[in-house]
Amino acid sequence: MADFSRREFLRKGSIGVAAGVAALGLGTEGGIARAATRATKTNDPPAEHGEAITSEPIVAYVRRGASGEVTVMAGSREVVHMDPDLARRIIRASKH
Amino acid sequence: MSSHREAPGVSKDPVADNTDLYAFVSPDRPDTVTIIANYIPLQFPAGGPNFFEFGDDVAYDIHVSNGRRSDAQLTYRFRFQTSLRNDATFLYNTGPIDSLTSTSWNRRQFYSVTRIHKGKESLLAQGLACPPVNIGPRSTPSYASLADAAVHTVRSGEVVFAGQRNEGFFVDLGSIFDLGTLRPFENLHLIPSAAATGVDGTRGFNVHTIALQVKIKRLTSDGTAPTDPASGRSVIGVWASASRRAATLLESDGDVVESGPWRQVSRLGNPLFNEVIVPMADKDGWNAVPPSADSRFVKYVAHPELAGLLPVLYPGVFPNLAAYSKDRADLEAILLTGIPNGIVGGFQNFTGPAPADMLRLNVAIPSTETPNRFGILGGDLAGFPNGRRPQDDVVAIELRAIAGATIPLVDPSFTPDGAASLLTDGTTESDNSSPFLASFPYLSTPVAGYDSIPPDEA
Repeated sequence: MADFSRREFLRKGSIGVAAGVAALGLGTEGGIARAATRATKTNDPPAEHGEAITSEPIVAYVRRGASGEVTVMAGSREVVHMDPDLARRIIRASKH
Repeated sequence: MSSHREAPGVSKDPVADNTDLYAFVSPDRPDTVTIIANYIPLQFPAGGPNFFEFGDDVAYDIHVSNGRRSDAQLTYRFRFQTSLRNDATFLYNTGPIDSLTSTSWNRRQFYSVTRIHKGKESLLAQGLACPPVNIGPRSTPSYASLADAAVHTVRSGEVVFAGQRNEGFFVDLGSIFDLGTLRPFENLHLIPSAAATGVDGTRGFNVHTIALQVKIKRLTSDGTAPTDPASGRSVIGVWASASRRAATLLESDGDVVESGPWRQVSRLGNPLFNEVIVPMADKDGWNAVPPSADSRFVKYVAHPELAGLLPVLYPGVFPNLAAYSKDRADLEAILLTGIPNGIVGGFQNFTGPAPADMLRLNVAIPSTETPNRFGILGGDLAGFPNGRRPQDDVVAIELRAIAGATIPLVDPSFTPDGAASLLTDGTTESDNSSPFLASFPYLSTPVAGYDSIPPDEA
């Protein structure tokens, strides 16, 4: 992995997540909101959900690649996905 | 220190570092409780041109539990926003700041107050002005009036202040962290020298204060102002915290991107809890969790390291303490559950058996015109550990408690060592740079940068 900074990784990771989310059928704001309802860890009010998805940065964090655990943060929300395929694609994106 | 730089992680993040917490029935408004949460420790007042300020990227919270619970039933959240008037200057101010709207004041802070009651958020106010820091006679010539103007009453009745104050916590830092030396007793230390008077290590420094004055009935579980000290409804638990977003990214142009939920990085209930009870390896973890998760720290209260060190550092002075091997039920009550009815006459601040480090205040006990700085140990039921007032000598109180002075409350068979009830680091509130105020926000005017003196010249 030549000349690849953590910042670039996270940027590319964000792109990877956006692609992954679309592939999972969660690409609409409503879809994201529903996913957040199922798995969110935040205590923030639902009023913030959805509105930030298209305007705020999205951060993806592959906490444990082997287990497929991917944490996605957008606005004040955090959604934990157990998705080995998504994790693999982000890891792959980090190497190119 | 009470909680200044008390943990490895937050010592590198002073903007989010809780330093002291006070909670008391307001002496001049007895139907209210005043809660003061301090942050940003050891501010050398001359530290410009980028003087000390709250973090726009930090959530500052004051939490209250009631109804004999250890989770927050009520949270007041303070969020800050910094505003620059003039982006062409490096200066904090370009002339005298004579009011909170002065056009000479370049870098200002404003804040919002949100009340979160059982998960429901209510924005109480926004755009509230902080005072400037105290720079000197040319920049901030009438500092007290600037600070007075920054006391705000929000529409729901709470009175708030957020800004710089003089450090009110008095402690002999230099000696205590030199192998537990207490200057008045250093002739008895393992490495002895002549006994001396204490030196207030925080004198001359400032902090940033968030002060909140609330009607008692807004804090209790049943919405009343209790009058029976024996009632469980009379006790509230208080702690403060600071949180940051889970993710922070540094962009190449200097911008910072934050995302994710709040993560707690600092908290404070009882003074000195994380500082001297929790081992260094667990301090950052303690800062990250709420009091309701404190069961894993009970072992450190039951057998505090400092109680084992005192007999070693002061040979022959604490033989009874050295021989005491039982769990310290007295400290568990004082720090983690509150003191039940029947232990101290006319007093209780029990919040149930669940261990949680909270400052517990019995709001049915009125303030007194003749406070004793040793609080309940001195027979003053309105003082620490019934909440905490600025003038309470919490260093001496906790030293004495850890040395065994409070063991007989729960174990009458124990006889404290003679020194236990005498311990002090030799500092008092009179060592502060200026006296406390008689009214809100009680902590006094910060030391001006122009007036500050390097410690070796003081």
